[in-house]
This record gives sequence, C-alpha cells and structure tokens, in this order.
Amino acid sequence: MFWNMYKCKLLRIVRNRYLLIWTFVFPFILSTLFYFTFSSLDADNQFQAIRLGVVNDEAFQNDAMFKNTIEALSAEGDEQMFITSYADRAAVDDMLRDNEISGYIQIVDGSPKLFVKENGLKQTIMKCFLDQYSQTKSSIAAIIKTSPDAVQNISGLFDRREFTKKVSLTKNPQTDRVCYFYALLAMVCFYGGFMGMEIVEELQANLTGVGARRTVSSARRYKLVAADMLAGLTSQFIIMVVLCVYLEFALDVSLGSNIWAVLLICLVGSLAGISFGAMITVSNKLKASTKSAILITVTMIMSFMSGLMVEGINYIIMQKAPVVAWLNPAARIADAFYCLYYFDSYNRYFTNIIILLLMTAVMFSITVVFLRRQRYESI
Amino acid sequence: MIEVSNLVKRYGSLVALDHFNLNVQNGEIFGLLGPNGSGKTTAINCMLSLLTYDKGEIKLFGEEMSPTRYDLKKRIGVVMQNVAVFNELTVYENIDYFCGLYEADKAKRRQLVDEAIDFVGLNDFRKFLPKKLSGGLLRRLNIACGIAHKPELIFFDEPTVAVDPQSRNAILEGIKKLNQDGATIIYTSHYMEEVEQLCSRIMIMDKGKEIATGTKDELKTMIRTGEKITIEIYDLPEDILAKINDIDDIVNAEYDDNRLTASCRINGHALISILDILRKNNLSFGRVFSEPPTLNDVFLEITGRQLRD
Ligand SMILES: Nc1ncnc2c1ncn2[C@@H]1O[C@H](COP(=O)(O)OP(=O)(O)OP(=O)(O)O)[C@@H](O)[C@H]1O
Ligand SMILES: [Mg+2]
Repeated sequence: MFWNMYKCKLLRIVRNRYLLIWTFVFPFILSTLFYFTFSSLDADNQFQAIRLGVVNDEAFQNDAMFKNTIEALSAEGDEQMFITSYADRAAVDDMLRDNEISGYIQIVDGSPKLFVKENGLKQTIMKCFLDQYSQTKSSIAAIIKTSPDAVQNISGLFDRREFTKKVSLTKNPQTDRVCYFYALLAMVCFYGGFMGMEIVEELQANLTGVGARRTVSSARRYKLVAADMLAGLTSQFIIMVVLCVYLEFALDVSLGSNIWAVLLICLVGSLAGISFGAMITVSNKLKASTKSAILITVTMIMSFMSGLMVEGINYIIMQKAPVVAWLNPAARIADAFYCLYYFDSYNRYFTNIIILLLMTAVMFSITVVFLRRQRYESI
Repeated sequence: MIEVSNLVKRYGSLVALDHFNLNVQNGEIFGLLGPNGSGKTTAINCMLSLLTYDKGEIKLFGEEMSPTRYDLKKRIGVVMQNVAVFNELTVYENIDYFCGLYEADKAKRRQLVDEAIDFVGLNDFRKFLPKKLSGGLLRRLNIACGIAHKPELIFFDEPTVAVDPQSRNAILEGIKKLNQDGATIIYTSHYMEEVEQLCSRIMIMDKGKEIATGTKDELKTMIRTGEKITIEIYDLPEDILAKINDIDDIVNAEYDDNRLTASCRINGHALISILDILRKNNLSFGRVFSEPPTLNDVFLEITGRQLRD
C-alpha cells in the first residue's frame, strides 16, 4: 500500500510539467547562464599565464634548479604558469615600467627575489610561487637528480589554480565566483518548497477534492503523509544530485572532494526546502496564489542574502547581522558547500548542517501538527 | 446503516444543518432532495467526518463515526460533488491509486480496477489522462474512483451534475446495479425526476432541515394537492372561474395566459365537473392535460417555493 502511494506520487511529480520547469529546468538554465557570464570575466583573471621577467645574469645561469623550474613552468601547454622574458636588469626594469611584465625575479645572494611595481592578484601568485619553491626545493632537487623527464614533473609541484585559490582566500574569504553557484544550489533546495506546497494541498480535505477523497479513505493518515513526503524528498534530492553533477563536470564548478558530504547537504537541503513550502501552505488560510507568491518571495530574499546576486553579500550580512545570517537556511546551505570547497576542517560544515536540521525539524513539526487534522470547520 | 440525530452545523452565523435527523436502512437507495444550498453536501461531509459539527450524533454501521475509524471508512465509498482525480495519472492509474488506499493486495486490486472500469464503461479510455476526457466521461471516472473497492455504503453527491441525458441514464442504471449487488446508497440531487426514478426512500430538505421523508407515494399523499389539470381556454369569465373554484375536489384554480390550471385534492376527480361547467356555459376549449403530482408540488406546498428556480 505504502509503496504504491509512493510510486504514484513520484509518477505524478515526473509528469507535472509546471513543477518540473520550476524545480528542474529553471536551475539548469540559470546555472548555465551564470557559467557563461563568469567564464568571460574569469578569462582575464584566473586562467591566463602571467608575464614574468627574469634577470638573465651569471647567478641565474648558475642556479640550475631555479632555471629548470622556471623553464618547466614556462613550457607551453595547459599547465603553463608563466610567459617568461629573459633579459638584463635594466631591460626588465623597463619592461616592468611599461607594464609588459607583471614583475621580475632576480637571484640575490643565492635565492630568488621578486620585484614588482604594484600589488595585485598576479603579483601575489608570483609570491606564492616563490614561497612554494623554497619549501619544495628538496623535492625539486630529487626530481632533477632521478628523472630524465624532469621538466614535466617539476610543473606538477606547482598548481596554478591552487595559488589562485589561496590568493583570493587571503583577499576576501567569500567573494569567489563559486559562491554564486552555491547560493544557486541553496535556491534550488528552496524551490523544492513548491513540491512541499503541492504535497500539502493534495492531502488537505479543505484545499482539494483529492485531499478530501484520500481523507475519507481507509488509508492511515501518517502513511498518506509519509508516502508523499518521501516521494517529494526523493525527487528533490535527485534534482539536487543531478544539478551537482552538472555543475562539477559540465560547468567546472568545484564542490570539493568529499562526495558524501555533498550528498548530505543535498539531502538536508531538500528536506528543509520541502518542509518550508509545506509549512507555508499548511499553516494559514491564504489563497493558493498568495501562498506561492510568499514562497517565491521568501526564497528569493533568502537566496539573495546567501549571495545569489551580489558578490559577498552573505559575508557582509554575517559581519553586520550574524543572527540573520545564521537563521537564513539558504545561507547555511550555501555556506556548507563553501566549507567543503575551502576548508579542510568540518567544524563549520557540521555546524551548518545541524542548524539546518534544527530549522527543518521545527518546520516539519509544524507541518505535521496541521496535517494530522482530518476534520475541518469548513470545506 | 446510518443514524444521524439532532445534527447542528454552523458556518459562522449561518446555520447549515438545523437539528438534522436521518435514518437509512440496509439495502436502501436513499435520496436527499433539496435545492442548492439546502445542506446536502454539508450533511454528507459531517457523516464522513470531514467537517466538525456543533451538536448531534452520527452512527454508521451502528457505530460512532470519527476521523480515525478506519475500519468504518474501509466499508464506505464516496463520490464527491466535484470531480476529484489526479490530473497526471491515467484513468487506470487513478482508479488503481484510490482503490489502493483500501486494498493492499495487488492481484485483487487489479481485478477490482478492471471491474470498475467495465462498470463505468471506460474500457476504451484506460490510458487517457483526465484532461482528455469529456465532462461525462470524467464524471464516470470520478464514480469509478469512489466505488472500485466495493464498499457496502456509498455516498453519491450529485453525480449527474452537468452530464448529458444519455450518460445520466447510464449512471443511474449503474447505481441501481450497485444497489442490487448489495450496496446501500445515499444519493443527493436537486433533480426530483432522478430521485423519483431511483430512490426507494426520499428525504426532502430545505435550509438545513428535514421537511418530509418517505417513499415517493407516501410523500405525495402528505400534501393536499393531487392531480393537476391544465385546460387551454381562449376567454374565461371571472364568475365561471369562481364556479370552478367552488367544486368540492378543487383546491385551487387559476386562469392566466389563456390557461386554466386547477389542482385537485388527493384522490379527487374534478376533470369531469370542470368540463361540465365549461360546456354548460358554451365555452369552447383547446387541449386538456392532467398530471399526477410531483415532488416539486410537495416541496412547493410545504415551503411555498419551487424546488428549482
Ligand atoms: N465552507 C463554507 N463556508 C461557509 N458557508 C458554507 C460553506 N459551505 C457551504 N456553506 C453554506 O452552507 C449551506 C449549505 O451548503 P451545502 O453545500 O451543504 O448545500 P448543498 O445542498 O450541497 O447545495 P448544492 O446543491 O449547491 O450542492 C449553503 O447556504 C452554503 O452557502
Ligand atoms: Mg452540494
């Protein structure tokens, strides 16, 4: 009995075009639009090799290890980090002044030193590179000694993307472009509210005929509620997972490396979204259209505050009004994704998940209290 | 089967049911006849425990009905006034779903659903979505969803509203058949012809109150009026009309729009007397009609209003 009800509800969701457009098609379109907007912006910043000058003097020629490393990172290809010009000190100075290069390196007292004109992303990346170089000197020495194919292996030690990430982290911890996508994922969870809304409407005898029909049937109330809720959760969860796969593999938006943690957010987020829609629908006597308007508006506000439209707004709200930020479930979902991407520690991630679960528990309880009713003042 | 006593239901200040009583015996087709807004649907929803009520007692199958009496609910079938099916499910899937709320066994259910589809004649439309069905077919689907689990007691709330006469007859025949197969039936309508044709007992209600209950013949004998005579006459002088009104068996005679209409007392025979008077006065007349009393006359006499406006 239960599984038949569950199966039918799934079938109805799949066949409900209106619902699928909002909960499924719309997020795909939006994320793809985001992607194309950002990739044109990102093109200059993140994925271009940096123009570097090297003072080509005796000290440089003698430092075989550094010379090899620079050459390895300047080799043309996907991994290319630098477009390097070798010249004497006066010439690179001129090039720096004319902005032909972002900075230059000279070996001073046996170790490389960076000269720049201004501070920016590229300069910081070059700095990161030098730090990394001195830290991994011994590994490089080992590679050069043992491997004939040294050039390839050296560049493996320096991940340009890793540098970029570190750099933006030190600048402003929450302004990475991925945050847009995380806020989008949070929004999709709350679009699951529509699913919750429909579930409730179809269960309430005072809202729909099918609700009345099911209420007068001999099916236990809790089974009816559980079957539909579970089917709603299943489909919302699948939507989230498919969207995550799309983001990670098609749009190259990193979701971190812990797949179970990602799945957990998807699950908890879906549950939160559905409970939210269900609660809005069940707890008042407003018209159905008013309820969906509330649902959309609140979802958009919450998503906005978790950084859907303005870069870093979630960061600002967290600084200025932390209570609002913590009580915004969409921000918690976005932040949980963010934690997986940036931090190795799971503390903040689990804090987010627990807060979400608590809020969901409250919303779900309110929903269940109302849904338990089978008898109404008026129909 | 059903015992409702002193049921009072208010919507705010509006009293929808006013000390309503109902007794339905096993095996009956019981008709609830009343104009729009008389409280038929409200009464049914109270019996089904969908509505709270202010006072009264409701017993189904001899037991107190409540929202959690799933054992009683299992024996009940409901065909709502408004079509209530899932738009995303086909005819077959809809019936299967609603039947599945009562019957867990899959094989048994398949048989029940097939029988229900046969019963309402939707065999050619099994795979149709509801929006592809005409109004009449949709009504039939609505019925199939309510009765597929073979309930002992079935509520039909105006199942023939907005259905063409042919489908209507098919539906009425179907209800008779369900009754022959052993189901007790409550049927509401504001079409007196339907109720007269179908029901073994009838309650006429108005403004949430029972007005009269009985078989259709019993109801008709409750009122003074019997046969109703209509005669087409070109011109009828006042004094002749007065004479006709003086006839013993005539309750009331009126002349309007070139027609004389006269209501007779029950079992009275006034036609010959009227025609005698007309002939004696050399008045020529056209066609003559005589109709037995209808439930509308019953309603009219008790409430002073027509059953249907
Ligand atoms: N939800 C409600 N809120 C307020 N008043 C209501 C409500 N439902 C019904 N009523 C009123 O209660 C009275 C009885 O309504 P009900 O629907 O029971 O009549 P009905 O006999 O089924 O009429 P119909 O033939 O139109 O179906 C009507 O006056 C109606 O206006
Ligand atoms: Mg009604």
